[in-house]
Amino acid sequence: MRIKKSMNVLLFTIAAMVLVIGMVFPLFAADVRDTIKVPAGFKFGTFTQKPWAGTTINVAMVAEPRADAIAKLAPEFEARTGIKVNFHILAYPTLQEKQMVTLTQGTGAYDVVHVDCVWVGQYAGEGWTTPVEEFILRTDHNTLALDDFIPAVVSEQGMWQDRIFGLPCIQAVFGLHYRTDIFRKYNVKVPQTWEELRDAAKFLNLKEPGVYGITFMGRRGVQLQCTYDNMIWSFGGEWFDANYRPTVDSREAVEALEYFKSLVPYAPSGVLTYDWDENANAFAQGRAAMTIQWQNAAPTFYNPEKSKIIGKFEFTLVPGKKQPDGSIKRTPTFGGWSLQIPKDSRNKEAAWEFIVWASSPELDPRLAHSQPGSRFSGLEDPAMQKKYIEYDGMLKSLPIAKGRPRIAPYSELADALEVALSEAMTGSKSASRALKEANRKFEFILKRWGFLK
Amino acid sequence: MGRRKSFQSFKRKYAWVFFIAPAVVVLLGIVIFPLIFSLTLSLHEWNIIRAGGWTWSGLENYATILFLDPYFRTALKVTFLYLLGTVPLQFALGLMVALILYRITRKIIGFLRTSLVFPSIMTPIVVGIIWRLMYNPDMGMLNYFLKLLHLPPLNWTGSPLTALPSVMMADIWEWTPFMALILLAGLQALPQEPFEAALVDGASQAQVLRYITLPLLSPVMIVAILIRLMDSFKTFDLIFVLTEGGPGMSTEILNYYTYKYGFKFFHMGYASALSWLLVVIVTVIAMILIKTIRSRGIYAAGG
Repeated sequence: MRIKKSMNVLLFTIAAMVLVIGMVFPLFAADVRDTIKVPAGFKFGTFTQKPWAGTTINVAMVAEPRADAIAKLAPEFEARTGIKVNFHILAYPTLQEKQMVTLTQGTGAYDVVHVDCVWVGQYAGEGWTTPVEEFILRTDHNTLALDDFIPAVVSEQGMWQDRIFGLPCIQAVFGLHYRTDIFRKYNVKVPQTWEELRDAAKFLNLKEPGVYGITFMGRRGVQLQCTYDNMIWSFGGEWFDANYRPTVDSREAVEALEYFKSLVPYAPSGVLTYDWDENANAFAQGRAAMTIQWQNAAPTFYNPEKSKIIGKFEFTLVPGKKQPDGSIKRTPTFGGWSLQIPKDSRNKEAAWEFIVWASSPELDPRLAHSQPGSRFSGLEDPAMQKKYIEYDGMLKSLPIAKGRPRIAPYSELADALEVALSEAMTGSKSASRALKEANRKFEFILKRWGFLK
Repeated sequence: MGRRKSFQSFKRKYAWVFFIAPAVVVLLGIVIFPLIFSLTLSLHEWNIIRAGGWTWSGLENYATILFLDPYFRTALKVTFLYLLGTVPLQFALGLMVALILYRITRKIIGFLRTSLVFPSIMTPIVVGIIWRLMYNPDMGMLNYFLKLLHLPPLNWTGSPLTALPSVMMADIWEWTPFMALILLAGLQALPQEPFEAALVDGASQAQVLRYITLPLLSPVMIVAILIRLMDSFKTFDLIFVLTEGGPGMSTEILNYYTYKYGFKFFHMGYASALSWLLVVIVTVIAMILIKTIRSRGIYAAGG
C-alpha cells in the first residue's frame, strides 16, 4: 500500500517534470518562471492540489451584497485549497482611498483588489495591477469558462489596452423599469425612443392617484451623471473627442440635457433630491409608472418588505435616439467591478486561485441571490430568469452598454459635469450655459493631467 | 549637603520641563508637524494616482486657486453666506435660551439642560440623516406640516434657492444649544454684587440686561462666537449627507471643496494649498473680530 502510494507520487512527479521541461522551458522559460510559481502539472481551478495551504491572502472588496455572499461561502474555498482568506469589505470611498494608498506605496497589503470600471485606466494603466494572461493559460477551462462571460463586460471591467487584468465581479447596467399593470390598463406601449418615453411619462402622469409618469436620480452626484450618460451618448454627444478635446458643450450634449430636463414636470416634486435609495424607494412604493435606473434596483422591487409592486413591473432596454435610417441608437450606461491582482502582492498565485473560484460558473448561481453575475450560463438560465426579472433586460443591455471614460481624471471630470447637470436641471442656469462652463472646466482638468497640450 | 542643595535648585528650576514636555511633544507631533508638512506639500504638485511623487511647484497651486480655478470663488462665496446665516442666528437664539434658563431655578433645570445638549452631542452624520428624512419633499415631516397649514410644499434641499438655508437650519438646530450652554455657564459665573447694586439703585430689568449682564458676559460671548465661527468654516458632515454640495454648487462650502480635491481627485498639493487658504481666512477673521471688540473696550472691561 505504502509503496504503491509513494510510487504513484514519484511517477506523478516525474511526469510533471517532463511536462514542465518539455512544454514550458524551451519557450519563454525565464519570463514565466519569474512571474508564476506553480508546482508541476498544476492547474488553477481544479482544486485537486493544495500548494498554498497555510497561506493567507487579503482580499479587498466593495460593500455590496455579492461581496458579502462570497465572504459567506469562503470557508468552502479555504477547505478546498487550504488558503486562508481575509476579507476587507469596505464602503466605496474607503475602499478607493485604502486601495489607492496601499497600491501606490507598494506595501503588498492586498492580494486581490476590487476595481471599479472607471478606475481601470488608473490601476492597469499606471501599472498597479498585473496582467493575468499567463495565469489564464494555466487555469482549468471548465472552471474559468472565459467564453461564458459576456465579452463586453470582460473588456469594460477587466481589460486595458488589449491586455486582460481581471475577471468581472459585480456589474450593473442602466435600463427602464416600468409598471406592467399600468401600461396594460392604459394600453401604453413600452417606449423605445426618448420621445416616446416623454410622451408616455406625460400621458401616464397622475393618471392613477399619486402615480407620477417617471422618476429618476436627480440629486447632484454620480447617479445623475450616469443617467444623463444614457442620453448624451445616444444623442450623439461625447465627453471629449479622440484627442481629449472636451466636447461636453456640443449641440448634441445640450440637446440631451434639455431633453432630460423636460422630464422633470412628469416626475415627483422631490426628484431632484433623489439618489439611488430615494428613487428605488419611490418606484417600489408605486409612486411612478417608470424609472430609469440601474438593473441593480430590481431586487428592491421584488423584495416583499420594501415593495408594493411585486409582479407588476418589468425591466427592459433603456430608450434611445431614432436615427435617420429608422434604427434606434441606444447606449445604456455601464457600471461594474473586476477582481485584480496588485503588482506588489506576494501571493499572486493564491490570489488568482481565489479569483477563479469566486467567479466560477459553479459558484455563480449560488451567488445570484445577492447580485447577478456576468455569465451567459446564469443570465440565460430559464429558471433563474423567472426568479430574477431583470436578467432578460440585462442580456439585451449589457452587450450594447457603453462605459464612462476610464482615464485617471474621471472622477474630477465627472464632478464638473455633475455640477453642470444639477444647475441645468434645477433651472439655475440654462443647459447650454451650464455645459459651456463644464467644458471650460474639462479643459482645465485635462490640461492639468497632461491629456491636452 | 551641597549636592543635595544643587539638586533641589535644579529641581526647582527645571521641574517644569517634565510637566510641559509631554504636552509639547504631542503638540509637535499632531499639530506643528502636520502644519509644516501640509505647508510644504502645498508648494508641491503631488497626485497620488500618478506615480511621480512630489514635484516642486512653488506658488503655482496658490496662483491657480486664486486666478484660474473657476469654482474657488463660488465656494468662497457660499462659505461666507453660510457663516453669516448660521453664527449670528445661533448666537442670538443661544443668548435668548441662556437668559431664559438662567431665570429658572427650580429642579426642572437639570432636565432642561440635559435635553438641551442632545442635538450637539449627536454625531453630525446622524443629525444629517435625520434632517435629510425631514426634508424629503414627498415623505418628509416638514412638508407634511406645510400641507396641514395649507402652504405649498417646498423642495427643501433640491432647489438652488432653498438648499443652503436648509443646511443652515440643520446647523442652527444642532449648534444653538452649544451656544446656549456656554452662555449659561458664563451667566452663572457672573459676580452678584453689580446686580445687587443695580437693584438698590432701582434699575429696570432692561437696564440691568443692557448695562450689566451683557457687558459682563461679553468675554464669554466672544469665545462662544469664535468657536462656532471656526467650526462653521469646517462644516462637512451635514453637507456631505444632505446635499453633497448640490444642487449645482449652491451648498459647496470651501471645506467640502477641499475634501473633494484631496480625497476624491487626489490632488494632495492642491488640497493642501486650499486648506492653507482656509487657515489664513479663518485667522484673519478671528483677529479682526477680537480686535474690533477690544478696541470698543468691552473685552477689557469684562476681562
